[in-house]
Amino acid sequence: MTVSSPLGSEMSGEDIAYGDSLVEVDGLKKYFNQDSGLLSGVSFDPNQFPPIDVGQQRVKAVDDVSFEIRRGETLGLVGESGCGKSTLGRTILRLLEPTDGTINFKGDDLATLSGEELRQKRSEIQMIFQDPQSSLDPRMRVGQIIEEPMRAHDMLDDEGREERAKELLEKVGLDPHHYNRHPHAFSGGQRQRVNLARALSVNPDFIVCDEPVSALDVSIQAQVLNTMEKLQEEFGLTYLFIAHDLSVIRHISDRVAVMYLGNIVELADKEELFENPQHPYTEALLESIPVPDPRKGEARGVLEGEVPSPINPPSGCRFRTRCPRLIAPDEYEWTDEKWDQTRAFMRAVKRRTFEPMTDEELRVEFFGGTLPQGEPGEIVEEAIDLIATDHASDELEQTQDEWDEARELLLDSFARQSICATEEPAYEIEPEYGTDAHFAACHLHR
Amino acid sequence: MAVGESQVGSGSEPAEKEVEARTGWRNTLKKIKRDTTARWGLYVIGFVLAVTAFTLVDSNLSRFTFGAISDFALAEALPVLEHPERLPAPGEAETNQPPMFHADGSLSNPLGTDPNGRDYFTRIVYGAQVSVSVGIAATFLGLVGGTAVGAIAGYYGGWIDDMLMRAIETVYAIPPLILIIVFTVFVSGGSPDVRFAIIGVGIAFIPVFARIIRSEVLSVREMDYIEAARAAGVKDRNIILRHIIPNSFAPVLVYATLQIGVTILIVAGLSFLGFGAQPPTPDWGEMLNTSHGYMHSNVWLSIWPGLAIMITIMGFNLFGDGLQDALDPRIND
Amino acid sequence: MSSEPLLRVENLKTQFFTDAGTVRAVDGISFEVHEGEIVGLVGESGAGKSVASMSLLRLVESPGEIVGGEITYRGETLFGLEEGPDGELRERDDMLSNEEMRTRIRGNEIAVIFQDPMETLNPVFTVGGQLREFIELNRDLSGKEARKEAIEMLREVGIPDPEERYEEYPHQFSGGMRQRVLIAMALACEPNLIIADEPTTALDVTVEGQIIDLVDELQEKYDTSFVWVTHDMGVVAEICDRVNVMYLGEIIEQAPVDELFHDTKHPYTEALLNSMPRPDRTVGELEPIEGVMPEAISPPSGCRFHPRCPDAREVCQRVHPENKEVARADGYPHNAACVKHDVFDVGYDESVPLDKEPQMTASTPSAGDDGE
Repeated sequence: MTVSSPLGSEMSGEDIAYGDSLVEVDGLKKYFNQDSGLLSGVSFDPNQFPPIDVGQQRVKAVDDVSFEIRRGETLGLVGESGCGKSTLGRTILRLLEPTDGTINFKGDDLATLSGEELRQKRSEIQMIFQDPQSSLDPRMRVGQIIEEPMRAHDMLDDEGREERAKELLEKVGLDPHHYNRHPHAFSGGQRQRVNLARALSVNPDFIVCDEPVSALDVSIQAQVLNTMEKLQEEFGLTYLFIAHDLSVIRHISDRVAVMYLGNIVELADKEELFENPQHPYTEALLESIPVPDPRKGEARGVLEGEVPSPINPPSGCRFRTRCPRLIAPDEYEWTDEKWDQTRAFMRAVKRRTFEPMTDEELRVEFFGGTLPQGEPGEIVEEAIDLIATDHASDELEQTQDEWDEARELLLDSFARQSICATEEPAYEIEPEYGTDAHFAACHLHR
Repeated sequence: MAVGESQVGSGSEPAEKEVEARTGWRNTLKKIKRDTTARWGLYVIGFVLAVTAFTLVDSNLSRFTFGAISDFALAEALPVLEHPERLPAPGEAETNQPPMFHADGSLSNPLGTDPNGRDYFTRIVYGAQVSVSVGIAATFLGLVGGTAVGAIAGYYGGWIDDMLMRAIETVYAIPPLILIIVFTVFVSGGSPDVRFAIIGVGIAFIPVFARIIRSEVLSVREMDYIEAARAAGVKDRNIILRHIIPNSFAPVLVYATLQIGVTILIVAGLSFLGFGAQPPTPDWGEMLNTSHGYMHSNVWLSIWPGLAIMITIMGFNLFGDGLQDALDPRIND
Repeated sequence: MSSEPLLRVENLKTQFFTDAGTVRAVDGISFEVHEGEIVGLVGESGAGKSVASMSLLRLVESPGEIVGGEITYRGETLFGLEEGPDGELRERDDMLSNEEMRTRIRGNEIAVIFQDPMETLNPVFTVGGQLREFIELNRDLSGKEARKEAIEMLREVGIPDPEERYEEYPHQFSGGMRQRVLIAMALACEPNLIIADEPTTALDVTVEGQIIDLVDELQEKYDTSFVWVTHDMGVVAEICDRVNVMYLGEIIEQAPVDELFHDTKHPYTEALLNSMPRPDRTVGELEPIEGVMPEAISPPSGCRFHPRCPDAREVCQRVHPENKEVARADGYPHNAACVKHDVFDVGYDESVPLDKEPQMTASTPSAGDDGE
């Protein structure tokens, strides 16, 4: 590879114009096997014949994700812990083997590149890590750390590498005289700058930033973010910026993708996404962030329940089990009010959030005294019958069974009939801000 | 530079000093120097190694060092010379002299002589050569083998890990003595040799070292800087050599230091059983073996090599303990 | 200002004695907590907020030690020193003994919620068992009653299906659920004051929202007071009634929450707010605070913030400002420790602005210029 010194801002990807797609991810999947070892996956199940099961339970960390990243932009990837955003970032870099799908980077499919080809490609794609503590080898000097990628790609000679490393130190806002220091002599923010210098050393086009500022104090965060923006401009970098902090995402991104349980649920221009969110999960996220302004107030936990297991994610829309706007099943006639009440009742039964009470109390508590009309009403009545204290037998065991029965009845009749459960959503919406496509995976837009 | 604006020097010298004292081998050495126990261990090891080095440099060095020893006794004492004709008849132990502080002792043989009339002091000194070098060599073999196996198994994981670790467990199940006997019988055609003791003990140690380094590698592997190196396109071999091993080496190093003492003991035991160094080569274990027949007539013949073994092992153990403390990041100033 | 405060802290000083020198982690802070209010203790890492909160319960561990000040809780002296006949400082007679602190105060009167619930809960016992034991010990209930109470508490803090989950182990709970268990534990003895040390920092934003909701609800119901330690100005705005901003061991601004955000009196608070990216609007360029917080071992002379302060003048190097009342709001004082306010009257207006040191990193040989 030829890199003219000093720091050229010349790009090896100049054949791709700014704004054109640099990375295209299509149908990417990453499943993890639950455990490893010689006899992994073999489980004993006495309820079947033969009683040995070799099927593996697989964690669907990233499940069928498609998007593109354009040259020169910052794509923000936001989601809560466990949603698969870090896994997605690592899979794009092929630090993890994709289970399925393609990752098109400047015409090559990274997913199918073999060992040495892939290794050489790594000079064009780099990564910045979250933990400034563990991302630098404590036994190496800062100079060695920054030069390592160059050495791996046979870039420059020893002197050239040292010269370049020192220039990079200066670029990221450190003292070139620190070349011979060990990482522990640096503070968190400075280590993150060393991380930046290392990533930049081989003149990459694309950098995956995995929560690069979340371990830093607020005031230091701002310093590092500003440096990252400056470098992006100077070197024409493209960032995939992974973070859980919506404020940081809003500040640095051009476009934003929101992830939930292995899927991208919404992707739009930053302004559009924050001002005109179209997926209930995005809305919930935005409503939950505490705003540093007491007059804005009332940022509250609008979401109930917890994220389901990625081993058996819900069918259809993955957010449906917690969605405050789950769509009523089409086959019944509902008024909005009655459907809201039924949904609340269904979830309360499912999560057992209330203490057992009598038939009458249940009706009043959840339905204001009147059950829904027609068939749904009959189903609800049946469920109430099962759990109400004045119908159930006193024995604890039986009550448990009856609760389960009521839960299944309600879920089967309502939740699993909804379009949210039967079809996977994917809709494109007319944006209100800007002109970029607005993708939202929610059936409300059907 | 515009970025520089975010930086202001703010006089945090103490922080730097404190931080400086946290990692690095240089710092480890500093800590050892401060630790009295470890320092004494180091002195003992240094002494034993120096003695060993002397005997390696010039097998006649003792001539200058111990001028008082008669030429005859010296010649007798040298390992290469064999004097079967001077072996005393059973029961007749007249030729062995007691140590010098004994009424019958003499200054020319400070620790007395063995039943062959060889100067015992010289034999103890030369015995260090075999005992210590065999101890170190066997440990080193185990260390290198174990590190290689453990690092590869830990880094790659998966089926490579499974295969290597199962193989290691198989070796682990074989007692070292059996391994050595097998070597002696099948490789050398029946004549015991100290080299087989080294190889046998070394192989027997591989599993322990491999396990220690593997468990360490498993945690180091998860560090971001390993992933960073992979993301940068560094070759696996270089990742293992430059990052994995240096960062997981500390505990095995401590273990190896402690293990050298154990190895010396094991090799002495093997010599005692007749599988290690062969007479007339002086070796502390072998000397214990020969001397136990004279326990009643001259107990000193057993005490001197025993003492030598004890002091050497103690030296390594003290040093090992100190090294462990020095490498423990939790123990800080 | 309302009647006698629930907790009064005066000139509290906690120091750590290390080989490198004395670290003045908390250096003379004073604040009050009134019945039923949530008081924030906010600052960046290294500001001393956690040490301050632990000092309240005398839970500072060696080599740390409370070396001065007075902590009064409902008229009882949790900590207090007096000068003995020999001129040495000694503990006052009315100061509660360690025994009394343990049996009467901790848990019963003042409870703590920590940041990491996994470290607080014992992984080998069931969640319910631990809660039950805690209730049994502190409230003198029989095992059976305590169990019932424990399940009740779990339901109260929003744990679904509490009878079932009572039997589960901490690792089977998610982070948010574990934090709920800790809240249940803190509430179990109906304390008057809860010290919450970054209780939502480790949680996801939606879960954080749930927990803040829960705390709000419970606080209304039980009228418990809180000392809420956090670094997150968003959470402060959301939940606190009054706020103390800490910088390098000192409280530099003290105000009701609305005044703190909308009538900021200290340049550090101001700078902190300006350096944050906002979730509710797009900010063009962030304005980071220059440099880093210095070590508490050798704080700068004069005002401790002056090397980083945009408003610093010559006088700031010399004069160490006390926290003084610079305004009043809702009957509460708005205190700030900055000499630019008129009450200080030390000649700030006439003083010359400080020449900023050249901020090239190349001129900063020392380490740690921008970190924790």
